[in-house]
Order: sequence, then C-alpha cells, then structure tokens
Amino acid sequence: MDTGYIARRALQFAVVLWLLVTILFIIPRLQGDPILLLTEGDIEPAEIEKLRVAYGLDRPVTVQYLDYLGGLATGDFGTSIKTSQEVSDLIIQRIQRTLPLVIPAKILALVVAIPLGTIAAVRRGWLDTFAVWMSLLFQSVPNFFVAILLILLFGVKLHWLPTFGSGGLDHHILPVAVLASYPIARYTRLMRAQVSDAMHSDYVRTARAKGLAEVVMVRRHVMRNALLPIVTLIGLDFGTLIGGTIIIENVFSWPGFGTLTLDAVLRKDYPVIQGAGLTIGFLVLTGSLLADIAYGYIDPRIRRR
Amino acid sequence: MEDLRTTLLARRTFLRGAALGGVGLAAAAVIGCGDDDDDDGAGPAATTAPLTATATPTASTGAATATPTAAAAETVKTGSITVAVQSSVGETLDPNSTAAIASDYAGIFDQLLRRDPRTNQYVPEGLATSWEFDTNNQTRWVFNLREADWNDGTPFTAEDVKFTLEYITNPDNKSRLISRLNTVDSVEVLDPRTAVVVTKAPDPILDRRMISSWVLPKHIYEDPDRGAEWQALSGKPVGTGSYVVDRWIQAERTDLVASASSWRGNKGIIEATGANITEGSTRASAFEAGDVAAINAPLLEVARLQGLHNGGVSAAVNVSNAHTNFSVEYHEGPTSDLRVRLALAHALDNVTYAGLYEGFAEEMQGQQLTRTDFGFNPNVGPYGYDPDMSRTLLRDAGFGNGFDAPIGQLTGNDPVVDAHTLAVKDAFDEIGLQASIVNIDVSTWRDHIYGRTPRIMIERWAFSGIGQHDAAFALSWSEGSQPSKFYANADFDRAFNEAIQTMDTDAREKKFWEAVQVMHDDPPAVWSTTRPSVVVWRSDQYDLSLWERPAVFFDQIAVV
Repeated sequence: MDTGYIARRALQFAVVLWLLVTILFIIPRLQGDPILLLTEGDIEPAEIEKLRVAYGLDRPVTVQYLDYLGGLATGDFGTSIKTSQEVSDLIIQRIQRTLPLVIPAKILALVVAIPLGTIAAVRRGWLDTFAVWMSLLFQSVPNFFVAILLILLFGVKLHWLPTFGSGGLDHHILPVAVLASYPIARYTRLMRAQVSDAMHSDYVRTARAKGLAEVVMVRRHVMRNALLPIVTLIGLDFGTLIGGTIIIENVFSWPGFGTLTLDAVLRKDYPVIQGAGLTIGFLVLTGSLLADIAYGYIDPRIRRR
Repeated sequence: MEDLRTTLLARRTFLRGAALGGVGLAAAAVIGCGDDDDDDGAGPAATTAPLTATATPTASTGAATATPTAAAAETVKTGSITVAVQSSVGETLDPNSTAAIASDYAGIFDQLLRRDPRTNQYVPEGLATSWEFDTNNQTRWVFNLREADWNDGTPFTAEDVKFTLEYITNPDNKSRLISRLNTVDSVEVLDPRTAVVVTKAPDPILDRRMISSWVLPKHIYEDPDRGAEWQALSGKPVGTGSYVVDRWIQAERTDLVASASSWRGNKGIIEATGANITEGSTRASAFEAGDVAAINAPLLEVARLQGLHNGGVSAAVNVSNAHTNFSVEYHEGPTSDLRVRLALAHALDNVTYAGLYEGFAEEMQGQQLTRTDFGFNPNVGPYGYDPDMSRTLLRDAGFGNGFDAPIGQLTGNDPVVDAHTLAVKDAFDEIGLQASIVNIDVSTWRDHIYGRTPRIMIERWAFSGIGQHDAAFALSWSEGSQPSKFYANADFDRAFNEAIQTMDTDAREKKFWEAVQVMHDDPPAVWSTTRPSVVVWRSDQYDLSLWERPAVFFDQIAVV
C-alpha cells in the first residue's frame, strides 16, 4: 500500500475533523444563551451573570474555544450542564445502549439486501418487482413514520411486542427493523443495479462461454465486483446509522445515544451537543477513511489518483 | 444477568415487605409472591391491606398549622402503577437540575409544603407543620418542622433545611432553582425542629417559593464518599418521600417502592414506575396497549383514548396557569399605540379558539392571570370579540390600511396550537392587517424575551410557573423596573411593587387586582386562551387525586 496515499487521506481526515470541531463549537452559541434556557422563571441579570461565571460562559469565546480544543486533546469533552456527568462517560454509556440496535440493523440490512438485490437482478420477475417497490417505499417514507405504524400494528393491535423501552430482546425487534429499513432499501437498489451491470459485462459473457455454472459465475465474478460500492457504503453509513437513531430512539423511548443527543439539543447542553456531534462526525470520517483505504487496496487505480 | 435479576427480586421483595411492615403478614405474603415484572404496567395487583393513616392537615396561608389526626386504620387496596413521564427524573435524580416539571420528584423527596390546587392554599403536607412570619421583623419566617427520617434512617432536621436553601442559592452549585429563591438571605437553625429563613426584604410569598425546592439530605451531600453526584446518579438517592428508588435506568425508567420509613405513607400504590416516553404518539400507543396507566395525552388523542378500555378511562387538565397570549411591541411601531393593541384584543374570537382544545381550554379573562392564580381579578373580563370595533380603532390610530404583523410562534407545537395561531392570523387579516406566521426556536425566543432586543413581532408565548400560581411570578415578567423587562407602565409598576411587599394576604390581593386592572386598560399583550395539558388515566383501576400533575404524585393515587 502506498504510504503517501494513506498520509494524504489522514491529513484530509485531520483537517475535516478540526473544521467539524470548530463548527460544533460555534453553532450552539449562535442559538442563544444556555443560562436563560436553564433557569426558567424570573431571574435577575445579576444572577444570570453569576451562573454564567459558574459555567465558564463569561470568558471570551476565543478562550472558551482554546480551552475546548485543549480539553479534546486530552480526551476531556467537558461536563454535561444538565446532569453534571463527564460527557465522554455519558457518550460511552449511551453508545453502549445504541450499538445493540445499530449493529443488528446493519447486519440485517446486509443479510436481506445483498441476496435480494442479487436475486432480483439475476432472476427478474416478481421478486425484482417486489425489490424495486420495497426499495422505493422504504427510501421514500420517513422511518419515524414506519416506526409509529409498526408500534400500532405489533404493539397496540396484535400485542406481540412492547410499545416502548429497552428491557428484553423483544424490545429490540421493532427499532432494529425500522433502523434497517432504509439501508435495506438502499443496499438492495444498489446491489441490484451493480449486479445488473455486471451481468452484461464482457467477463461474465466470457465466463458463460466457458460453460461456468450460473450460480458459480454469479458468486465468483458478478457479486465480487458488485460488492465494491457496498463495502464503501458500509463504512460511510455506520456513522449515519448512529445519527439516524436520534429520531428512532426517541419514538421508541430507547435510552441510547440518539435520545441523549436530542435531549441535549433541546436543552442546549453545549458540551453534550459538541460531544455527540463530534462522535457522529468522527465515526463518519473514520468510516470514510477506512473505506478509502480499503478501496485503494482493492482497486489500485484509486490510490494512483 | 440472572444474578442481577435475583438480587433485584430479593431487594424488591424485601422492600415490599418492609413497606407493609405492620400491615399484616398475610398481605405481605400475597404481595411478596406477586409477579416481579411490573414492566408491563398491568393493572394493580389488587390486594387488600390496612394502610397506615396519614395526616389530615388543615390549611391556611401566612400562619398555617397542621393538626395531623391519626385516622382509624382503614382497609385499602394496594397495587402498582406505571405512568409515562416526560421529565428530568429520567436523566438525573438531582431535583436541582431543572426549573420546571419539578413535581416529578414528588415520590422521592419532600418540599416544606405543598400547594392544594383545589383551594390555592399552601398546605402543611410537606416537611413543615406550620410556618409564619415575624410580624415585628417581616423578613423573618419561622418554619416548624415535623419528625421525619431520611430513607437511610437518618433523622431529618432543620439543618437539612438550612443546607438546602444555602445550596440552592449558591451559584457555584449551579442549581436551576436559584431564581426561585432569590429573596432568601440566610437561614438560622433554632433547634432541630425549627428553621428561620431570613429574606433580603419582606417577601410575602416566601412560603410559595418553598414549593420550588425539594429538601436535600445534608449528611449525604457532605459525605466525601457520596456527595451531590452520588445522590444524582447512583440510582439510590436519599429522600424523605413516600417512595425509595428501587431501580433507575437513566433516560428510561424509575422504579419506586413504598418507603418503610416515610412519614407520609401512601394511599395504596406500593410500587410505581415512571417510564420516560417523550414522543406523544408513543405515549398514546403505550396507553392504548395497556403498558402504562396514565399519560400526558396529545390533545387530539384525548377523545379517542377516553373511548378505550371499555370506558374505564378519564381525562383531566393538569392544574396549571399556562396560557396563550400574543405579546406585542409596546415601545415602538404600530402596536405602541394603545388603540392598536386594543384593536388586536377585540379581533380575537377566543371562545372559538378555546374550542380547538377539545373542550379543555377556556377564554382568558382579559388579564395575564388565570382563575387558579392568586391575584386573579374577578372584576376584569374578556375584551370581547368585535372586529368592527377593531377596524374603527385601527382607523382612528391611522392604520386603516393595516400594517405588517408577523406572528412569531415556537417550533415543535402540538397541532392544536398551530391551528390556534393560524386562526389568529386569519383574525388579524380580517381586520385589515397583513399577518404572517414566523416559526422561531425556543432559545431564540428566550433571548428575545430577556435580552430586550427590538420587538418586531407579535409573539405567542405562555407563562407557566409550575407550583407558583401567584401574580408575583406571573406579572413579574412585565414589571418595568428591571432592564430585562419590556412593559413600562408606572401605574402598574407602583401597584405591583406595593403588592409584592405587602405581607397581608387580602391587602396584597387587592394590590394585584389594581395592577391587573392597569394592565387590562393598557395591555402589553393580547390574551387568548388557557393552554391545557391533559392527563388521561385508567380510572377503572386508579383514583388520581387532584394535584398539579396528578399522575406523578404517587402517594395521592388510590387503587380502585
């Protein structure tokens, strides 16, 4: 592997990460004074000032920024204004609650989408029609709406599954299904398109001419090539999937990273907003970096660019 | 995992038994053998057991005296309940972490006193048995305290009251309640059962302020091995409330069991779970599925929910002074003209708008206070819907052709509220204005309110001083002596400032009436309707007493 290629990618990673940190620092501060949001009721300016001092918000923004950067360098994300917990602890705790949703959703998406997209492209017929319409549906309908419908059907009408919470295995089924719905649609569509293209390529024609069995030909030649963009997407989508839990966890009252983030945004808990945003951004960037490296490894043409 | 469940089971079983200590072995045995998993929020485990009698206080304001009488043991049903909450309890068990919805901590902690919304009286159903101010030195309030224990067995004393008030008013502790108790100067401990609170100036509503704060255990906060963080996040907070926390899953649920050492006792709920469900449609689904027994219901769902469970569902408005009004620019622009503001007031068909709220709202009575507020002026009534008068007033003011009137409204509203705003826009258009709706973020709105930035919008906002239904709180937003306030009317300021320094209750009320009348004649806002929050519950299973947020005052819930 070309070390220059990896170094260039790593430098891009660092620059984008710094931009992300800076944006996350600035944006919450453009949206109002957190002290006013925290202290509902009749509060005098002198008391507001005292609280501002207590939270360190009285210092110049540049000092706050440098302090924030220094903290990040030592792994200190700050302290939650709401709960007084270390943000890093809070994020780790809550991501641990979210991973049992995200990882099964990711696996489910791949297990369903790759065979479905492949079979749809190879066999066509009703399965292809189903795959196309299913993809269209799940890519079009907001997943929070799907979540509400599933709760009504399986929780309220059929009483098969709980309507909220994170207790047992049965609590996982609906949120995992909802989180997987969009990736299933996306991957199925992509896989179908890739396999369709590959099926008309020269090397497939050659394989057929050599008398290779259809199943072997699809598995060895078609799927290997068709999976390349999927591999890229898996890396890129992981952070997106974590970010996607913000709404879904709220609908299912799941106490994970998503609810933590949404709650922090609503309460203007700066340190948590910054920590959560940075976590999502870091995951997306890391996924992207790994995908770039993997892609460069798989396809030498990429790293020569 | 199995070990953990076994531990939880054993602890819970023990606590159940302890809670019913003295109740009878038979009842304890029945409950102890019950299904441990109350996650399903199923109906109460209907057992029958005598309940320890609780105090029956009498109430008055200013010099209240409790006369707890031990009622004869009576037979009551016991059971469990699961309610949906949208609260801070899920995030932290520190009651200082929020300035709102603090009643969600009612199961675990006690205030010095409670407010009975039926009478608007502050009653000795908290840790104070009586209280009065020193008539010679009106900055001194004496609180007589009851015998009570923290749930770890430590006696509750006046030192805890002193610690609590000093803790909250110290900015270093970052309590959200600091603004509620900003008149407290110092606290003296006369003896373990008597605390004296000294205010910076005479403060006739000090007793009402006490409803904001939950009394904290000094010995825990000062324990180097435990402290504030342990109290907030260990899941085992020490309180004097009717319940102790059995299991707490941050951001998900709080399981409570009846405290064996509680002075207050309960009316039959021996296990209570507050499940954090923030999404309205999920709350409605959970209620419909029978997973929870009480919810704050989305308004448009109330009628449907009332038809569920074979009609065994009731609905009631959470007692609150929240309302909707449209505050206007008082100092600049067209609305600085009194005639224009009155034109806006007469343009609103508030009776019709109240109907949007499924029958749970009512027209505001031409003032910022609702009927449940102390200081509500019964002699002041609505302006009345009269668009012709509005047009005349606008013409007289030189705005016969109208003017641009953007109506700011907060984002994330219930659809009913959005419909209300749309109806008001139409009403303003009808009298010739060029109205539009501008959606704004809550923090932007808050900066606008406090920061005194130029007002260019007519806004809709609601005051909600939870637990403090007093004109001193509701009207303080408008008092002009502070630079952060926006209403500057010398007559109002005089009446208001006299009122908040008048210790005599009747005289204070009359002063507030005067302030309300001034504000009615020279309004800084257009008051529209009350803003109801509706609780829906399984009345075939539970009897919810009328407290501000009845679904979370578990000690007041009886099993039917």
